[in-house]
Amino acid sequence: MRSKKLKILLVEDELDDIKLTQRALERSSVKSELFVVRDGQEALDFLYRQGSHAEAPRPDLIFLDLKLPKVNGHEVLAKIKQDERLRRIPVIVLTVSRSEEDMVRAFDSGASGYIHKPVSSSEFIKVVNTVRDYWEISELPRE
Amino acid sequence: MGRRLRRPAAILVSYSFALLLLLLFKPHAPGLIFALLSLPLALSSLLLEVGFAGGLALGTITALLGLPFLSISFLDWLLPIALFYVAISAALGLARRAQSQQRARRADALLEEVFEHSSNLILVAELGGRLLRRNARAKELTGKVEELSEIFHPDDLPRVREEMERAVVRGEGGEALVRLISQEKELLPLELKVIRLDREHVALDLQEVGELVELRRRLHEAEARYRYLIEDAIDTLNSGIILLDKSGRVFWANETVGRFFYIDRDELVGKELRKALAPCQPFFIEPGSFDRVTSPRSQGRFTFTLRGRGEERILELVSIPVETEKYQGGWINHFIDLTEIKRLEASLREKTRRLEESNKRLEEFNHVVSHDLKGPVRRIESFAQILLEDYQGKLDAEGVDYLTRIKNQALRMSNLIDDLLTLASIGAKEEPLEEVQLGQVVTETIEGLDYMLRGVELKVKEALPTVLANRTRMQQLLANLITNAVKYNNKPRKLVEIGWEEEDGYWKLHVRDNGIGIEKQYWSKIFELFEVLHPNGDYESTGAGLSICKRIVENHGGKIWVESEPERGSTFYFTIPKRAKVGEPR
Repeated sequence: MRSKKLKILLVEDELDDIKLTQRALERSSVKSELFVVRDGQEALDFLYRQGSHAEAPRPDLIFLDLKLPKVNGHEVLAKIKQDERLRRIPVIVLTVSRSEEDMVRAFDSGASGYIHKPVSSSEFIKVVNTVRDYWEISELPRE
Repeated sequence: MGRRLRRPAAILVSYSFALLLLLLFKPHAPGLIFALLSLPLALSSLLLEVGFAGGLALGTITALLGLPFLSISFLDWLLPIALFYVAISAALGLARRAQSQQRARRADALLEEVFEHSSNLILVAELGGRLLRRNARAKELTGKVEELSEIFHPDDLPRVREEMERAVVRGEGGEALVRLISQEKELLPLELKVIRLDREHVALDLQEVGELVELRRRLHEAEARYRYLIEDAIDTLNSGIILLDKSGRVFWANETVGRFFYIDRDELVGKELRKALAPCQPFFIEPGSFDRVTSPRSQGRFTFTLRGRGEERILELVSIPVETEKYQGGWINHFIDLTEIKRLEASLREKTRRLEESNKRLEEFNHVVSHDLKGPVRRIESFAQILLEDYQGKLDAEGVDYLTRIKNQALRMSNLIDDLLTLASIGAKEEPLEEVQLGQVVTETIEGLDYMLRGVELKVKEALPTVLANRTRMQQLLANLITNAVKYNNKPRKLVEIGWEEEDGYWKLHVRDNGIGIEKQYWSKIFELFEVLHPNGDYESTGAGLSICKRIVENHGGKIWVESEPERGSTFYFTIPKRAKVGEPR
């Protein structure tokens, strides 16, 4: 399983942040495959395989920006956590804010962690390490 | 006069009858002459005011005058009889008159006796106040005086004068309780009765009264004073009060009622409330409120508006039935002026609304700053970092230097935004207080600052107190102070000491260092926002750290200050008030 690529869904509207995240993932030693969607609605389409995302894979990890067009990050997070099949996918909230309130809110909504944007390689590796143990040991039901 | 005339008239009639008989049966010239002569004499004896002796003398003279005629003529015996009759009658009349005069004199003497020896004080005075006569008792008590004003208490004088006027002008003598000043300068309570003598003279009859009467007077006085005081007090109330009797009629209203309803309160008394307030009906704004207010049996509370004479008043009616032990029936209607309260309420509501709006805008602003402003800055920093990492070989030293500067400036900006947000958040919302063990907070903070504290000698005094505070804020405060202690330190052996003292009502803590120190003139300036004492680059700082500390401490009800010696080090002190438990006012 370790050889398998980690499928990551990045929900982010800011192109520069997408670029920075891509680079951070490349620089880390984690083998990963990045799928990018640009707003909350698209994220839900991806997860529910709707529309143009009919063939979308189930991601192992979601990076979710909270500030998104159409459907915002909090709503997407709530939907994921309410869904029986999606709730076990770790969601890492991306935030530019250092405010404690934003972090608390993210955890309250069911986030598995948070990263201050832009994502740096070191931060990414730290998160993946934290999450990976969890998702290797537990036998997450696959569809 | 009628009584006086009866007897002389009878005498005249009998005399005239005798004369008539004489003329009819025996006309006799000398007798007739005598009769005619004696007539004025008899009349004068009757009408002249003479004494007993005078009467006798007159009778004798008349009899003597008649004697010659008798001796001349023996024929007629009727004449002398008549003559004697006349004389004796006259004498008797005169004697009687004298006697009555004597009796009157005697009665006067007796009256004088009564006047003089009366146990009451009797004074005869002119209306102007001058004393004419006093009886023995009066003299005994008042001594040598000439004016009424000398013997009555000054407070009672108007009353005495009033009673005198009343007696003279209206003819009725009133009674009053007055105080007399004795010649021993003692105050004697007396009951005064004024008797009119004539237009300008009165008698003052003063009866000494017992202690009981005096007590009664004082009680009356006290009661009246009390009543006036209470009425004055109620009149000056800001609330209107109408008392209604059992039948719903106005029994009493205070002055404020008059002011509220633009009506003379005396006009209300005795009328049914509805009729009494009828002239005010146009002032009632809300439909139906007049009926509700004037219904005699309206109970509970009712708020209504009156508009008149260019002002608007919001009143609350509270109608309470009277059911006391002493009195049953009727109502007390209070009218409480709520205008000012309502105005304040509205203004408070408006202010609260504005404040909430402003807070909301501030929150939005914070959100924009923390997300939209910070994002680009962080990205600049990130791309600069990437450039440094990926293009290191392609840039010369100068290029790397510029890029590093770009990166540092972006980082600085990012930190500044974080500090500003922190500063703005302190006290913006109610922050929960809890029991915070400062020892634990210090340990955690030191752990958090691990990399920074390498090579620093750190001393922490045992048994740091447990305070009631916001835990996160305490962490921020201590982290800032410890960071400063290390940052502004140019000594090879850096010392940081954290200590505490217990003072009356608060804990005093300090963070001491052996750093560069601060000159005294900057001791307070360093707590101001963005005040940096050192050129940027020498010491990395946003200039907001101590402002944040100050705001945290003050928000907890404490104080923060610094004592320092340049080149020797600084000590930052702060206090945290002691509080018994959560929820006590700050």
